[in-house]
Amino acid sequence: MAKTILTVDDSGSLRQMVTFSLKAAGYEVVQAVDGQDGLNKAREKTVDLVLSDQNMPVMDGLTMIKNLRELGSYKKVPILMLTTESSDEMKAKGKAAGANGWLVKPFDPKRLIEVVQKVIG
Amino acid sequence: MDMNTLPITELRKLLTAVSDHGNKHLVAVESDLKQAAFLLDEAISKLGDGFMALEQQLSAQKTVLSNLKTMDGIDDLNREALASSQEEVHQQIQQVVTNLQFQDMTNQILERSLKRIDGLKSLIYEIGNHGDHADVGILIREQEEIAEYIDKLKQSLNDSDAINSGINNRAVDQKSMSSGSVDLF
Repeated sequence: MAKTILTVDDSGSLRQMVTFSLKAAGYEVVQAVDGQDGLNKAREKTVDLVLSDQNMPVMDGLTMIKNLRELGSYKKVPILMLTTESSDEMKAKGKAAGANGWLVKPFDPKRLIEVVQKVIG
Repeated sequence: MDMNTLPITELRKLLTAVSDHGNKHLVAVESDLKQAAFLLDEAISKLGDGFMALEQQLSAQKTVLSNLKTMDGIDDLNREALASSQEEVHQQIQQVVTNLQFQDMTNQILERSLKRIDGLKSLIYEIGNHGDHADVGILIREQEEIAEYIDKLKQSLNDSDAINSGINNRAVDQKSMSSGSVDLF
């Protein structure tokens, strides 16, 4: 059974490219348009991996992670950030919030899949 | 200049004119940035849809080519050429996926610029707003008015700074479309 990945990004084009890359590698993909939407989708179905942007309207990525980590079913689900933010300060905040990795945009699809496979197989 | 002779009415007229003029330019810049964001959004939507359609066709062709490669009658040279072409197409698709992410980054930069313009518009509005309250009094009153006016302007500047300091300057500092770093914690 294919593993499911939740991709959270307010950019439609980014979600399209992430979804394309992940589906081509055999993963199921659920899309969310911001942190709040991501939280709602994550509650509806526990996914195998969350891949989230940071700067989004309504709720940003780090706030979403903190909320997800408070849910029992998401204590150990891997969460990767995929964002334009590249500062060490933000990466440290991400780690403290509960992120398992930090990918800086733009992403290379081959590299993205390698990382996803390393994290969830 | 002696403060008692400072022509506050003229000063206020000047600042009101500066405010009107500045606001006009900012509105034009704001309009251009919104138009650029709109066009980028439309372009990426069409490019994305076009890419997906092309990729679908290429996938269909890939199946046919794979079948052709196994058929008798095709020599090794052509078989290798087909394999090489398929690999090249695959590499190009990967590259396009990376390059199509430009709109996400440029849009963030445009949004940040629009927020800064909002901050500047508020500041310019405040300058004009104070300037509009021209109430010509006797000279000694003018001195107090100038002090009061400068205090209000300083407050407006501080407020504007507070708004603009909330805008993340480092959210996008990519200088090229090469793929970014990966850190696993």
